[in-house]
Amino acid sequence: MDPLHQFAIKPIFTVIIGGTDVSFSNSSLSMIAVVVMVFSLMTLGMRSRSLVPGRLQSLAEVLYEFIAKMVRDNAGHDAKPFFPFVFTLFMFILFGNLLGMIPGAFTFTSHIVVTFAMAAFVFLGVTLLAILKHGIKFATFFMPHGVPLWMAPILVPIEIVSYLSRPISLSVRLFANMMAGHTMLKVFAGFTILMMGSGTALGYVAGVVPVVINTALIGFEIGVALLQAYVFTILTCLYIKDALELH
Amino acid sequence: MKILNGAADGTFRRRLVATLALMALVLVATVGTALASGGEHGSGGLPQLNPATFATQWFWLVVSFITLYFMLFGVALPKVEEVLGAREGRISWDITKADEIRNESNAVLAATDRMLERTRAQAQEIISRTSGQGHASGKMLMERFDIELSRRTREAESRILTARNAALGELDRTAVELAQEVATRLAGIEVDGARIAEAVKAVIKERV
Amino acid sequence: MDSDDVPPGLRELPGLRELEERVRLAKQRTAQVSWEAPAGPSADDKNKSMLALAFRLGTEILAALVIGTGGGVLIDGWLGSKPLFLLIGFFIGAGGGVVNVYRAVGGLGYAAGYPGARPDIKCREDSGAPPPAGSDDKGR
Repeated sequence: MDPLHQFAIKPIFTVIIGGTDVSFSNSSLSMIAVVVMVFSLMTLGMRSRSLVPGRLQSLAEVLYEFIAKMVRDNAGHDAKPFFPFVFTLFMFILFGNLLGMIPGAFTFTSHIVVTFAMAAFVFLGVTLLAILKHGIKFATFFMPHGVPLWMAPILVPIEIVSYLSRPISLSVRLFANMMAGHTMLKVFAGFTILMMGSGTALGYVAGVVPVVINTALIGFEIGVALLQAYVFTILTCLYIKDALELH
Repeated sequence: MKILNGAADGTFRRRLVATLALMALVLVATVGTALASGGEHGSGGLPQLNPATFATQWFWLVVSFITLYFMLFGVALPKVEEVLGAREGRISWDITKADEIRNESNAVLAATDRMLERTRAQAQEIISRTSGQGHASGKMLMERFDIELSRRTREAESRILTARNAALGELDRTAVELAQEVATRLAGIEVDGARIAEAVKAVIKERV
Repeated sequence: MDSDDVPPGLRELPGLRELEERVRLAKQRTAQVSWEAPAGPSADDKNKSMLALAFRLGTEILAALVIGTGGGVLIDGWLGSKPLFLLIGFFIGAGGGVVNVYRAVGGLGYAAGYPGARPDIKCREDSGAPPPAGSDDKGR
């Protein structure tokens, strides 16, 4: 069994726009499902608008306040206009990661093109924001403070490379975590099938071991799903702060 | 160990059952999905690096992300903000109210303290005044009482004395008259008053 | 008569003290929630997990190397100076990776500059505690 098979894109129905194949696939289905889930959580939970919240409303409020605090603490007060974007980003990644924990569901965050597209959007947006806000002063961003001028020819390229590597590290981190976790789960599940497939009593007994490991792994993977959504979001906040304050 | 502690109240058993149930679920799910996707093998290489799938993923990513952004930005987040704002307003109102009440009760407490202080001072003053005077006036009272008492005693004595003298005088006179009349009736003789008085006096002297 | 004879309830109303304390705490809490509150370093700074950090460092170096070397290759293709800029790019990429690692470990975010020059930057990094779930490390 190919543990990488779960990452394959399978078209559900064909859509072609402008000569490009943009078929609705299992990946697209997951994305739409996430949109529906997040929107339902945030609206159904707040339906009653009660002062003393119920369970769903509490969850919605906790998520809201969690991200609001994150943006405020890490990106600064001026970053309030970016709160809806950061919130959307967090919820989209978080639910994308968690949805992948359901067996058989597709994890779109395990695709580098998806995570890179998000990271690149953040990167470009943040760079544009910095240039719009600070103009040519943005160039000083690449010259470290308190460093002798003769070192600039070495340090400035390094800083530029460091800056340009942001979207790569941001997207690779999320993609690699999600892919590694899901591959591992699948590999262990494959072991179980292999052992039980042997048909012997020993095979059945030994086949339980990967199930135990997988059960523990699933808890671990849920943690990874949360952590990686958090990391992606908080780094976005830090980038926004850099763009706004330009140290 | 936590597990051993938990065993006492059955928590451990519940956790064990839950874990086993979860494991069974994992088994069924993984085997099921593995079998479902079995047979067909990957065309080799990472499915993530197949350029044919890039466009569709980007397209639907953009579509779904923008949709979600505007749904949250336009509908969901304002609602949450409204509720949180209302609650914050309510809480801050409550806090202000509580603060007011606290200040009020502090004021009342201070007033009570002041009043108590004043009352105690007053009581102290009255007590010290009365106890200082009480001693002297008591003595005076006693003296006055003594004097009055002796005066009244003397008065009473003198009154008793005059009454006795008067009574005695009356008795003398009555006795003389009586003797005179008795003598007149029985003996038919006229006795002169002076002699009778003399005799009565002598008799009374003998008797008394 | 001494002041000790005053009923204790009037002197030391415990409810009043408690109320005062509660009001103070509540004020503090509401101040934290609003946007206008001063931003402080979050409590997540603690319990950095070494494994998550170690994985991050690998990603950081790799990303910088990819950018540096890739840029070198592009410039080579443009100028036709085959191995020259690839090598330069590789070393710049390595330098960028070191810078990235330095900032990740120092918790300085990603902005250019060094701790001495930026005393205002507090330790706020992504390898802190995860949001609602467990706090153990998940990085790979």
